[in-house]
Amino acid sequence: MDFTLGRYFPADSPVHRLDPRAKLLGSLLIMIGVLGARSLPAFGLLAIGLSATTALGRLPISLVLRGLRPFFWLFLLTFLLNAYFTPGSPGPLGTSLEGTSQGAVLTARLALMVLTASLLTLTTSPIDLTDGIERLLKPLRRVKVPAHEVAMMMVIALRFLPLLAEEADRIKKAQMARGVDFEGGILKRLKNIVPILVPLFLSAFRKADLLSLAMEARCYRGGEGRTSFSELRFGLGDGLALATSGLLALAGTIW
Amino acid sequence: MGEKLVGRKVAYTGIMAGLTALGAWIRVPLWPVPFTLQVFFVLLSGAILGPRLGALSQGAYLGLIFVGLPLSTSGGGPGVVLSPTFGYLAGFPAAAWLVGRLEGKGFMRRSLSMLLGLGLIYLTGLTYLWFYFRYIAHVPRHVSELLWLGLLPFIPGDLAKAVLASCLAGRLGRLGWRSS
Repeated sequence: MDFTLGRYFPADSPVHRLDPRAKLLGSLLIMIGVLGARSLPAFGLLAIGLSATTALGRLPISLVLRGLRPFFWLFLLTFLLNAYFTPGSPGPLGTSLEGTSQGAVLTARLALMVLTASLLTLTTSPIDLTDGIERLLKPLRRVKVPAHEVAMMMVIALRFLPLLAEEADRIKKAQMARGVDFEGGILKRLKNIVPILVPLFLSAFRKADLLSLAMEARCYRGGEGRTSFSELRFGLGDGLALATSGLLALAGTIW
Repeated sequence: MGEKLVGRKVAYTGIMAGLTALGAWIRVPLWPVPFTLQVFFVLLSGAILGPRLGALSQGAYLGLIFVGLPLSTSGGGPGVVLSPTFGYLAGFPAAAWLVGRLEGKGFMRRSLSMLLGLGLIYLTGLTYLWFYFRYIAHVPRHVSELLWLGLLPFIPGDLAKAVLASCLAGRLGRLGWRSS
């Protein structure tokens, strides 16, 4: 199991230092702009904006582009299906001209959206993002969405995931030592998941009990009136970054 | 519903979210779709924690995927929303809620609630798949094709998971959270 949790790239740059709320909202605006873009200059402008962010964030370009890799087949499929199956005037290799341009626009849109998303997660650590989401969701308290508690659960899950994975591995080895055979036919392998799951649940519940004891011993009372060691500050730079993304999105949509 | 979320509940729900994430990793390579335990943990979270906390644990799991952790079978990050299988993920909190809501005594009742939860995941998953082909990839697919692609290959494995989950739910409900 690979625990390169998130693809956060730690560095000291203006982009990394931005308030996570500004980055979340800014990425959202850029994505809206990308959805509205249809002309070449619009795509160019948005691509320049993303490249500038990459440069400001001191990110290696190869790392940013690597975010596109899981989506490669999706891009190819989208492009080819559109190029071949859209009716229009014939182009090279049996494609249609309208289809090719439509496929190119859709592929560019998808690629820019994925790049925006990976820029966000490359420059912001999962903990900061969780913090940002918590603050952004706070107004939803009125409709009974417990923003703080959900953020707390996310952090707990993040902290305990490696422990649980280690535990699962240990249980598997312990059961093998007792003679459970994890090789063999499909049905047998499926059946053999059970002697892992039951101890895994029991150990997870035990961990949860200890954790809740520790939380209550420290007077955890939920989100109300809780203060935080690292306060988020929405400064001038954050406002500026957000305004720039807004302008980019607007320009991308109108052009 | 309006009760306070104290430490114990937050701890259990968080750990359940962690187990769901782990479920995406425990996989038996099978054809045509790999067998993972995700859905199993989704159904079980509703049965063990109840409707509200079950749904919250799945919400926290989706939140972790959103902030970039590669915890789903299609990676992580906000880009997951663009992947064809996002609909199934989006159905997880709703399914956990439904299972918790319908949860009762007895194996049959429990199995039935899990099957309905499973149906809910399929419903959102297929709806999104249709939407995805129609509006994101711009290549509309016929409904029958979608069923072949996004429903039938999953059914045998998921039925096995639902049965397994209903077996375990009875025992774990007694041992863990509710008794103490």
